[in-house]
Amino acid sequence: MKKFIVTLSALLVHVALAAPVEYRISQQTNTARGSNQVFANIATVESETDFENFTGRTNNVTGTLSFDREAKTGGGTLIINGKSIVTGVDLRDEDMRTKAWMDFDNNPEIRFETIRVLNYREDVYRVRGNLTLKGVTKEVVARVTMKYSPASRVPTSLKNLGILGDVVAMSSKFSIKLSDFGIKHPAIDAGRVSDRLDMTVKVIASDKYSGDK
Amino acid sequence: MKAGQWQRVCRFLALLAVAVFVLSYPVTWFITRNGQLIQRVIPADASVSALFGDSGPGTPFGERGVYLIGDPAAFLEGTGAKGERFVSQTYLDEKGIYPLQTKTVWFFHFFVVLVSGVGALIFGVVWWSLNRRRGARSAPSL
Repeated sequence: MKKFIVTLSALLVHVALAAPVEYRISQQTNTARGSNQVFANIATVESETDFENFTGRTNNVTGTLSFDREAKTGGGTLIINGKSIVTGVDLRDEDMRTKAWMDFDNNPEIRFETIRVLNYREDVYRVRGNLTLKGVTKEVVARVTMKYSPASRVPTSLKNLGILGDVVAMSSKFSIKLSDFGIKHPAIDAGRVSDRLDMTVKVIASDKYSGDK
Repeated sequence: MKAGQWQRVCRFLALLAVAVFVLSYPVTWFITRNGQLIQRVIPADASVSALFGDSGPGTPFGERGVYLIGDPAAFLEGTGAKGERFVSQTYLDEKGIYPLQTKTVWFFHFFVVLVSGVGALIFGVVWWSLNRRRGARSAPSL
């Protein structure tokens, strides 16, 4: 009987520890710029054209992550502000925002919502989710690395940015076809711009920020 | 313009086109000779990189590529798995440097070769045709 109670208690404790925790990706981590930048959440898009490969980026990434360290599963929503993506060439950025390309002027959000998470190995996950771009939603599979750190191991530099709780550092990479999202352009048909777009996201999410009640 | 003048102009343009065609190769080679395999990174605090399990100098920015970067201050310590050198994207942003890819240089070279090649062909044919006609006119009639 004693053995049964001990085993049941251990199981209950395990179940309690196995609860998913919600972490937020905050704009607070997006404010530092330049050489003194400690870290800023970042999303990049990379495209191959006939005369160069260019990379667009934005630090305007928000969302929520739900992560269960014990069960090695979770979910969440990631929102990237596409309108704030810059490539280093103003004319190209303007072009990218038009209806002929990504239409960020009318559909500024790139949204990723998790459907299923599978632990691949250690901190690496295979995440299936719905990606919405230019108002079109398609299922994509992303390779995601999620690393948890308790608040005691968070560097002071991040605490100074207002990150006060435990953190999950998430990085992800996946590729999409522009044509799958209704982005069709003569330059793609002519092979001058690749139909493939590589996307990466690197964010820090926390369960507590300064200013939280 | 007289036929003789046209002939001289076409000869000049044909030879010019051939010169441009031929010289474009060593010029392009010269421009791209210092191209290096580079990985641009956004430098990050080592303690923050450790949260992600990263050991490199920062967050990779874009894929590796062959770039022409003349400012040595842009380079960071160390090399990557494929021998690529690391360049600080933050430094490039601060200095307003948009790094040139050798791919871009060779792309424009392709157009120079195409235009000069076609030009050499057209002007060459016109020159040859005018030359032939002139030769036929100067041949003594029987």
